[in-house]
Amino acid sequence: MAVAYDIAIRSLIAYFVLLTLARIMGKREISQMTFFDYIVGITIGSMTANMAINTSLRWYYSVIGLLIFTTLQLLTAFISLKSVRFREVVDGTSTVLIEHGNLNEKNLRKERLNTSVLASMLREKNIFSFADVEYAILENDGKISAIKKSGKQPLTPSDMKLQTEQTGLPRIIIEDGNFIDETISHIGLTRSWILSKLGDRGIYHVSNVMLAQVDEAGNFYVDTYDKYENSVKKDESLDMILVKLERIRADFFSYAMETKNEKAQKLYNECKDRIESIIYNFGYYVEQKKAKDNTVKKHFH
Amino acid sequence: MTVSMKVRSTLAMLEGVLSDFKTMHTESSDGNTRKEFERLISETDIIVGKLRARIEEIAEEEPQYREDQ
Repeated sequence: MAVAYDIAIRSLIAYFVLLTLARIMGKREISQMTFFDYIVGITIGSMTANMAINTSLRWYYSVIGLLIFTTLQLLTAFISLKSVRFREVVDGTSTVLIEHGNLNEKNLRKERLNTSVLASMLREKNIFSFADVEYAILENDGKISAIKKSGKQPLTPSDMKLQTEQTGLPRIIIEDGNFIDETISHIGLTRSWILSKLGDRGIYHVSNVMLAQVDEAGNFYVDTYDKYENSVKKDESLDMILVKLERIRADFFSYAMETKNEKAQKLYNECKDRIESIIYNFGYYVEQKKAKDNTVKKHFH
Repeated sequence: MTVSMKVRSTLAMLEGVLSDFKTMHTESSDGNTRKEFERLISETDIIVGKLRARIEEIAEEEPQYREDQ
């Protein structure tokens, strides 16, 4: 029972020691692990495991080992930051495997890579034919980077000599019905600008917006809550009817102008007058309805 | 486009608006709104009727009214 108790305490300590050291060593370890980093990681893990359950060793023996390993890792990282030579020794260099479309046999042999492994690595990059490759480089972390021949690369706007706007990083400015003021002021916008943009889309209060995102070119993405969307759509269709009525009025006007038949002219003019009164009455109704909806929405907020 | 075709397309648009009014009439529950739409529907109906009559007239006179010949 005493042993179990011992192991519980040790595991607890080991867990937090490992957590602390992992945080100190930073993010580089996972994303760009070289082969050596990987082995160091395993060693550190096994020392921690010993610390947790190997009761024949004092727990702090492992801590000593861990501290030395961590310090050395940090030290080599620091020196390789300063010295290119040192970096080459510690991390190795990347190896060119394909150069101007030709396989570099010497380097392939040096990295002990056969062509079928290379082919499968290229396939992971969506390259299925060696003929498409201009350059392929084996990186320190064992991954391959490849660039296709210029004729095999996807067509881009600059190939077409097209001007494109720099969109920059799109930022979220409204989330769950609330302004994100920090972002808004950071990118130099104001609440009133955003509200006017929303108004253009028939959205009159920020609480109706689930998400709004804007990029540096001023492109605006807005998503409203489903509950609200239906009422916006209705407002839009009301405006559409008004537009149609206006077009019908314009048609009658031009028919009346064009016809030489007096009776027909009278009829068109009468139709035009009637349409005008419909536009007036319906327009009044639409305005009233929008005003009412707005006050309801504001009140609701 | 002949005059007849133009007027027909205007009629089609007007009939679209008429059916929109009818839908809004059935959807509304408020008494005043319903009355308002009843008025709008009957007004629109009158114009539709006049326009139909005009189209029939044009059909008889069509040859003189062709613009595109």
